[in-house]
Amino acid sequence: MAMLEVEELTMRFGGLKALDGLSFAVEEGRIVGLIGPNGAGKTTVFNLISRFYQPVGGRISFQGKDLLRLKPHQVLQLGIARTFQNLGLFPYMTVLDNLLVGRHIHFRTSSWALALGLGQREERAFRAEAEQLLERLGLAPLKGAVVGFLPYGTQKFIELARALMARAKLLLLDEPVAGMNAAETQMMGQFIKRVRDEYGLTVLLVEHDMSLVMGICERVVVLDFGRKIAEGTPEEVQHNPAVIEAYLGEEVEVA
Amino acid sequence: MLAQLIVSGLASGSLYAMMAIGLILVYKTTHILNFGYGDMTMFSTFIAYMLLTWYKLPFAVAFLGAIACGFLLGIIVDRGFLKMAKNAPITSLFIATLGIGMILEAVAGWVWGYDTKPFPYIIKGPPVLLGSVVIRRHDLLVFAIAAAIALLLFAMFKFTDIGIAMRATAQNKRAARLMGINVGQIATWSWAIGVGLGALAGVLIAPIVFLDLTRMILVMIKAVAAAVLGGFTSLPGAIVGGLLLGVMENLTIYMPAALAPLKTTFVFLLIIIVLAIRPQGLLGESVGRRV
Amino acid sequence: MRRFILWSGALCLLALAPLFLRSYTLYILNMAGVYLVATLGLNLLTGYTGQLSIGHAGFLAIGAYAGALLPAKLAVPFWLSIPLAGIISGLAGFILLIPALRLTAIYLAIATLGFGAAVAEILPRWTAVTGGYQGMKVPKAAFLGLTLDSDVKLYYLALIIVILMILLARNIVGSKLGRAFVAIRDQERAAQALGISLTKYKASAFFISAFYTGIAGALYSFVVGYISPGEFDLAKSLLIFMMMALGGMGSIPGSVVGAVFLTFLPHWLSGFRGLQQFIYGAALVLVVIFAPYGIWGFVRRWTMPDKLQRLPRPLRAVVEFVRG
Repeated sequence: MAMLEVEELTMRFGGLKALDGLSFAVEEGRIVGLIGPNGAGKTTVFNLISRFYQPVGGRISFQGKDLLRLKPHQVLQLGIARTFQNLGLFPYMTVLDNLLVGRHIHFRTSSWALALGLGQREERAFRAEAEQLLERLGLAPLKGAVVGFLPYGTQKFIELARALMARAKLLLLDEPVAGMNAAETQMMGQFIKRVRDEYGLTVLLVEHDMSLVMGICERVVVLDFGRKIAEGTPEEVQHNPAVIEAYLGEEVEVA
Repeated sequence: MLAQLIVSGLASGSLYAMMAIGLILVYKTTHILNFGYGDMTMFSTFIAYMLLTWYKLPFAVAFLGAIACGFLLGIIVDRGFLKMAKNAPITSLFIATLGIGMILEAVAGWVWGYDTKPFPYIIKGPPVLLGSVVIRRHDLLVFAIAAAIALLLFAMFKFTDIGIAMRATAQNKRAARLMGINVGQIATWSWAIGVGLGALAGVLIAPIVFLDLTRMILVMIKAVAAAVLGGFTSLPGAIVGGLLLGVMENLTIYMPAALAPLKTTFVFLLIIIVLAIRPQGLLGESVGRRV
Repeated sequence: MRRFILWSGALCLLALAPLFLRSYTLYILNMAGVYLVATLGLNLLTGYTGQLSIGHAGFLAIGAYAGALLPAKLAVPFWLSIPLAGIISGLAGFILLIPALRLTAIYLAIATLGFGAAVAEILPRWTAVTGGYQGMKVPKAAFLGLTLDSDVKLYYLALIIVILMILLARNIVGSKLGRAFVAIRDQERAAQALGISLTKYKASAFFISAFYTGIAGALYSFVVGYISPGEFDLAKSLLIFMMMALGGMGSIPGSVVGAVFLTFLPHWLSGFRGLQQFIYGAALVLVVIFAPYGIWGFVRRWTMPDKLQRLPRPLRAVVEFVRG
């Protein structure tokens, strides 16, 4: 059984059909790309998985559990973390505090105890872990910096690091390299692969940058007008006539 | 009896609506809740009072004097104070309007004194009978002016450059700026027109509630409530909200006698219930966001 | 070590203050303590969690009446009545949770405004319990046979409460609780995706905020010795809001500075009628213009490490200590 299964998912905004009977599956351990022209419904899929939207029809299950019965804040407890297209960082917090919010659900100390100043050991342990993670990213000197003042590309890495702090099994990355230059894109690609291997993660990513998708994805699902028009390895998808047609008029950059 | 209550409710409602529109104009273009509005209205109304009773000038002059004062106050507040605090967050600017209100209150106290003053009605004469409903002449004047204002504003937003630029600014500040609209100037216009409208409403309210330093603040609170009820982003919403609030207030008379003293509480409760059902207010734009 | 010395020094200074100060100044200091606790409460809700409230006088009133009535009518010991007042007020905070879960910014503000107005309207009519418009005399606070009947004694009570409440606020702000609050304020969606329940944490924020303000209310009743419904009006709600915003939103030292400053300001300004109000208003406007992020934001900006280089070392240590 696949880790994430999306079946016949349908979503409407007003009269507009954003998703139309979409089905696909993500196997454990894979890096899967979700691509398609603008407005194809990619982010809508993420927001449905995050439970921000309620679908008109269809099912989403994660490791056999029905996702649609959950509230947005319960999704991570199953093991699904995500990043956001326009950054979901907390701009006035320091880098370290942002990472610690990633650990939020793993704190065992109760709020009452925290208010009394207890639970310092747990806090210190998680803090040390966050610092280690930053060290590995080469971002250790920034741990006390306020996130909102950092360069966009750096913030993207920090957001991903925060998702790693959540100890999730599945990462949903919404345009992880949007606004990055070629060098940064390559770094991010390598980083995603590395953390997938080291942490044993599964990754589902939405991306416009074809060099990243073709470079790291093992499977690609192509959407157009809310429907799946192709699925396969990057090579297969690249030569699929339906895909080429959908992207006609948009420049397809293939690395 | 019911018709009577509704008609007089509509009259006070029109006044709430007028003031609410002044609040919304400012809010839509600047996102500042003008909590000094009550004091600004009070100050402008005192100008009319002074022109009328000290200098014995005709009503028309006093009326225009008050509106001009409101207009000017709006410009001074925006240009003189708020524009200087360019980087301040919205909550701080909200505090600044409170501070300006306090200054105006202090000055008004020195100039016009601290006691409550009766304010003359613009038109006198016996009330008009419409079937079994008695309508005060003053209320007729209020209806006429409110309708005229509504039409004028509608025309302004539809046909004049300033009106259209205001709408654009309210919808998307950055896009408006890119289109060559001087957003800062539009904010000043909104302040001028907004506070001017308050002054106009003030002169019409003062005969009913009398005039002193703080009474207009209570009226402002009702205007805020009306604006919120209507959605805070919509001018027609403010009119509906104002009228509804005026009528609701009057209808609280039907409440059981024991609960009658809790009138304000019930009005607020109603507003909160309306908001719980329609979080964006009656005619407001949806606040639902997409990621 | 240096921090420890400076902290103890500050504490000693505060503990010895009654030796140097007049009773009247102590009374104002006690009031500053009352508002400090209330401002902390509002700041946790508005500054940290982003939930606007201009009805906190309602909670102050609930705390004040609970603090006065529990010992007077139910013979609850005084040491218990203060925390109980906080809890009662905190539970009342849940009333605002329902609109808070549905409404944003300005719409929530009007709901809180309505809450404040409702409390102000109900209190004087509930004559049997509250004594109606005339208000009621608050029994003297007594503790282990010690009656707190002077401003000096009340000063120590206020000081203890203030220190406890500041420590509590520091713990909250520095823990996952405080981070969840800020997360909700800045990015509701991202907060949810990270497992933060809006219902749970908004409820916590409202409870904590109302709890603080309720404690402040109870302290108020003991400091003033006499309470009447007219004191808890919109003006008081706005006063607490101004203390928070002028001191610095989302900052504990900011709340301290804002509350102390605005409590003392009217007392510094004595003069003929209206002047006080004028200067108060002008001060508000000036602070907004020159210190848009509040007085504390201003202090922090002008005590950045690079600006301190020229100060002599001991002085620098003090400034750095104050800066936090």
